[in-house]
Formats: sequence, structure tokens, C-alpha cells
Amino acid sequence: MKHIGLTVASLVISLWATGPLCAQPDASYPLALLPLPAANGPPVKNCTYCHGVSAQGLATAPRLAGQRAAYIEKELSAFRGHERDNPLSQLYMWNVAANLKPETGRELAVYFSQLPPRAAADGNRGLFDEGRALYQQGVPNANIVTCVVCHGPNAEGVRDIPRLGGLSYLYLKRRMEEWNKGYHPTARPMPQVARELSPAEIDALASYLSFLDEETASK
Amino acid sequence: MAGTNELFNAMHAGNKMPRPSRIGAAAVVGLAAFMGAGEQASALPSFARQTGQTCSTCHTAFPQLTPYGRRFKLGGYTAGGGIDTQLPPVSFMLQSQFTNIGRSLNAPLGSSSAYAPPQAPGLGGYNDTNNWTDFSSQVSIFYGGKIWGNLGAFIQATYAQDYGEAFNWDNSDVRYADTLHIGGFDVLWGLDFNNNPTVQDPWNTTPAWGFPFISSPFAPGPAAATMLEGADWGPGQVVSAGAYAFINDMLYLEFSAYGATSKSFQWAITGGPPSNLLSGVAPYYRVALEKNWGEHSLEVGAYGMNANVITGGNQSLPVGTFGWPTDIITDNGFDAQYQWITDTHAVTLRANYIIERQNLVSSVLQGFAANNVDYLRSLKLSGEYVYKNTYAFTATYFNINGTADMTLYAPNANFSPNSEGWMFDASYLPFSRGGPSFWPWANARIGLTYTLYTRFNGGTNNIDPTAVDVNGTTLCNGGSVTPYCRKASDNNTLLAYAWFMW
Repeated sequence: MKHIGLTVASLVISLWATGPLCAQPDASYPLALLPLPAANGPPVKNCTYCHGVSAQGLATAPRLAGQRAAYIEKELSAFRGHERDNPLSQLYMWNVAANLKPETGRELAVYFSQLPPRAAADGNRGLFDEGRALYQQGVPNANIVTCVVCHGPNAEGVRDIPRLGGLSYLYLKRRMEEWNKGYHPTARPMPQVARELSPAEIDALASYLSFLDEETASK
Repeated sequence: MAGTNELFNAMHAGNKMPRPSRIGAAAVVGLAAFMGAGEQASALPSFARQTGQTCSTCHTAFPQLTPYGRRFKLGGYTAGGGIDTQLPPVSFMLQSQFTNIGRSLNAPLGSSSAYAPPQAPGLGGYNDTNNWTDFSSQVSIFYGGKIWGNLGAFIQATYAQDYGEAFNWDNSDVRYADTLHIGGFDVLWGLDFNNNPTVQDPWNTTPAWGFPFISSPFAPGPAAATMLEGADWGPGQVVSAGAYAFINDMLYLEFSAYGATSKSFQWAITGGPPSNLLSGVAPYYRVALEKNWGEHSLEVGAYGMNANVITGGNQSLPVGTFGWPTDIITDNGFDAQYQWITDTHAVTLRANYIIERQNLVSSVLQGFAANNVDYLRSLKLSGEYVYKNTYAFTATYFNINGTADMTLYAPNANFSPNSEGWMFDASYLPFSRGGPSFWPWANARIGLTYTLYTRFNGGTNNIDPTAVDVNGTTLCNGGSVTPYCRKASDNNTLLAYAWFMW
């Protein structure tokens, strides 16, 4: 313990160096040593180390490239308000949204919406036709509505309704399953829609959508 | 026992400089690097402040990285998203340890055995012949995070109490990283400058950030280790410049070149003259393929380095003396890592195998080695399970084997470098998903590691066969059971540690 002084000194320095604990996000710190100018453009790197270099999705993080800007903004707001409460959202995105200024979020949303999306194509190709039938026609007898009405003929989305085409199979599947478990209940009407879907139907839909790019969708 | 023997003797005499030879250095770092002490850091609170993320985004149980942590590192430590203080990203670390080794150091004082009780001065946290308590085993200060724009750094300086009581320049890695989009290829590329081979690597299979993540500086460790495992030099005794590219988040390519820092600089940062000195430029390569699908991540790769080494530091001759031969050490490593990470569970399986060819022409000339060419192979297989980023359990099998050399490994059983054993670790990480409200970026790992040797420095039942007492009488003759005969299992070590970062 004879170097306890070193420990105490380092604690004091760290308290100084890290600034006020409740600082406003992105606010300049009054004791800033260097008057550094702001970088140009939205801080894309803050997103791409999880969502992939060109935001095509990575591991459990979904693709952002080509996603509707209004949808991204809406979801950022849902993360900030803790309405989107899926386990992975809680782990990663709540922290992101907590420090993100709305205007920065808007700039990022617009940036990612303009990147060309590439289909993940990681579903079961054998379920493609079944998934397409479900997507386009629903199952009226089972009270399953068609997806095409809201998400568009090519699953490209519109306004704040997300593009589903080409998102990864695992992401789409997890989202639908988690609505069935009660997560993110405010994302109406999806909790009600997903409730009617069987595991096999979720599998087929997620598989079909994962292959959907502009070319596939138009066939 | 050559290395450990010398190391212990040197330490007991208060002399921080072991005999200048490859094996001498191997022993020093065999304790300090192969076993992990003095080499590890991580899950920096300054990274958490910068990104706004908890440690669990980038680590399953620090310092094991997740796919996102690997990309944060390769992206130059520059990603943000947290509180912007516009001040240097500084963090601190404190490691406290308690060590118990299976059998006390009870060889007679004045003997040539490594297992005589340590003597003052320079005892650091010494407390007993087989129990050591060290409250400030390591105290580090870090600069970790974005410097400006695409430039970022991880720089560590460490005060290690243990025996040496020295302040060292520890692992450091400075990067400039950006992205390119060429046709269908997304390329994350960067320039990298570091001070320890594999410290730049984002997979925890490679030595600098491999398991064990923490170990005792007091416990005996195997004398032999490969160059990439730190046998020849520690952080700061070499520096590198290199470039890398990560293509489509899948194919990683890196090439770096290492050179030695000056002798006087090495003296300044290590507290003594260099044991081994890198001559000229040593190329380092790394190729890895990582595939991620959902919660799964699989990597296979290879890496290696070729170095001309002035064995023993060649203290009497200036660097680069014409006509003086060098040893040529060539390491090639092969690694694989699989991860399955959900919001609740995280499994990481690691495999690493290094084969080293030692052309010992200089060592033979100086009388440090008997064979012109020796081989050394190091295998490590490790499995880790982490529950909610909070409870971590790890089991590791390690096996070092190589050519017997009657000079290089003179005190070892059968002149063999072979060691083999297991390590088990259980730890508690209370703050991985957010620290206490008054300091949410704090991180801690409190755990127990048990190291079990089935073979140690070539022996199982008699690992100190050549040790003699002060009168020159053999302590343990031919494996017969005497009070001082030591088995491999006598070096089994229990380490309790508390590791704090803030």
C-alpha cells in the first residue's frame, strides 16, 4: 500500500480530465485545452463500427444502408424514449441515443438512407416462394394481413415505414419473434400483426425478404 | 530451470538484470509476458466515455473483444457517440494480487536453485515463501481514444511493483484509420505504429492480448517462450510502422516492420540494458478471415515475424558491428476464434499455435546454445463462457515443446524446454454493463486463476535436477526424493486478483 498516493493522484487527475459527469452531449467543455473545430459531415464512424464499414449490417446490427431516413429517425427517438426495448436495443442503442442530438441523428439518417443497399441473402432459399406469397397476399383466413400494403411492392418502405427488402434473415426473424414476446409494443401495428404469425411463417417471411433487392423484387 | 533460476537469483540479489541471453530474457518475460503480467490492459473507461457505450459492447469480459470491439480498434479508436469533453482521453488502472504457489520456496539459501526463498532488497510485495500479497501489482495510466479526426491511440505506461518496482512504457498502439469504397469492396484501412508485436491485433488469440489476461509476477513460469510471446523483448524495446486493410468486414491484411529502439532508451524504460536486441528491420505479417452471421463470428488466420536478433544484447559491441552474426528467429502463428454472443450468453473459443525456428549461430558462438538450429512450438487452446457480461469462466490448455538443447536449457530436465498444463479462471465483472452512478465508466474484474502444470521446464517429478547447494552438493540427485526435490505440480499457482479501471 505504500503507493496509495499514486492511486489517489491518478483518481484526482482522472476526475479533472474527464470533465463534468452530467455534461450536455457535444457541449464544449469550459476547460478545453485546444479549441478544435467541428469535423465536417455527420459522425458516420460512430455507427459503422457496429453496422459495418458501409452500413450493410454486421453480426446482430441491422443494415442501415438504403433504410428510410424517417424510419431511422423514428427509431432513434424510440431508443431514446426506451420504447424500443428489445434486449439488444437496450444493450447498444439506448446508449447511442442517450448522447445523440436530434439534428445529428437526422443527418446520419439522411446519410445512411442514400447508401445503396445490398441484400443480405442469408435466409432459406427454399422458403422464398412461400415467403413471397405471405408477403404479397397474407393469409386472410388466419387473419394475417398482407405486408405489401404498407411496406410496398418491393418491400422498399415509404416515409417512416421501413425498407425490409434485403435485411438479414436473423434480424427480421428476431424482430418478429420479439414482438410476440411483448417487446417494443408501441410499434403499432406490428405487435398485432406479428402475433398472428407462426414460427414457420416468420421463417418464410424473413427468408424471402433477405433475398429481396431491387432486381429480385421486380420479378 | 535456467531462466527461472537466473531470474530468481537475479531478483533475490536485487539485481534486475538477468544473464544476457535468449533464455534469460525468455525467463523474465516468461513470467511477465507469456503468463501475461505487465502486458495487459483493457476495456478502457476513456473508450466508454468517448463512445457512450458500456464495456459490454466491445468486450464479452474484458479484454476479450467482440466483433464490434475489433472494429472500434481497427477504426483507430476514433468512433464517438459519448460525452465530448474535448480533453485528453485518460484512464487509470490498478491491479491488486494475492499469489499462492503449491509448494513454498524452500531450497537452501545460497543454492543455485530457483526455489530458494527470496531475499531483500527489491522484494516488492513479498510476504512469505509461498504467499505474496501485492496491493499495487500494477498501476497504469492510459491515453486511450481519439486524438483528432482519424487519428487515435492506445498508450499505456505502467508502474509494476512486484519485484522490480519499475515504471515502464507498456503496450502502445497509435493508428490513423479511414474507409475506402472501391467497386463492390468496402475497405477499412489504416496506418499503425506500435511497440510490441501483436499488440495491434484485434483477435485475442494472438499473444499480446491472449489468455491469461492477468497473472502473478511472483509465480514461477516456464522458461521457454516464442519471440511473439515476448521471449526476446518487451513493449518499447521495439517499435513498428505498418499498414492494414479490412476488406468487406471479412478479410484482414496487415504488414508491419519492426525496429529496435536505442540501447539507452531501452535501458531507460526497462531499468537495465537490453537482453536481446533486434538487428535491422523485422517484417511482420498478418492475414485473417472473419465471417459474421447473426450472433456467430468465426475467424481463421495466420501471422508471423522474422527477426535478426543480437543475442545477449551483445553488450560489449556497438549495434550493427560489422561481421558479428545474429540469431535468426522466425515465428509463424496460426489461429482461430469462434464466438457466439447473445444479450445473455457469450462463448469464445480460441486456438493459437506458434512454431518458431531458431537459427542460433550467434548464441552458439557466444556459448549460450549448443545447437545451430532449435525449434519451439507453443499451443494454446482456450474456452470462455460469460453470463450477462458479468460472470466469466475460462479454461485453457497450453503446451510448449521444442528441441532439447544442452546449453540453452542446461538446468532443465533432459535439457528440454517442454512445459504443459491448464489454467482455470473464474471472475466477476460487476460494471461491464455500466458502472456505479457516480462513475459509470468504471470497470472491474475480480477473480481467481488456478494454473496447473503437468510438465514444467522439461520435467514432471524433478524439475530442478542440476541445482546444487552452497557447497556444490546436488540438491536433488537423479530424481530421488529428498527434501528439495521439486515436482512440476509444486509450481501450481493460485492467483486472486482485483483489477480496477476508471
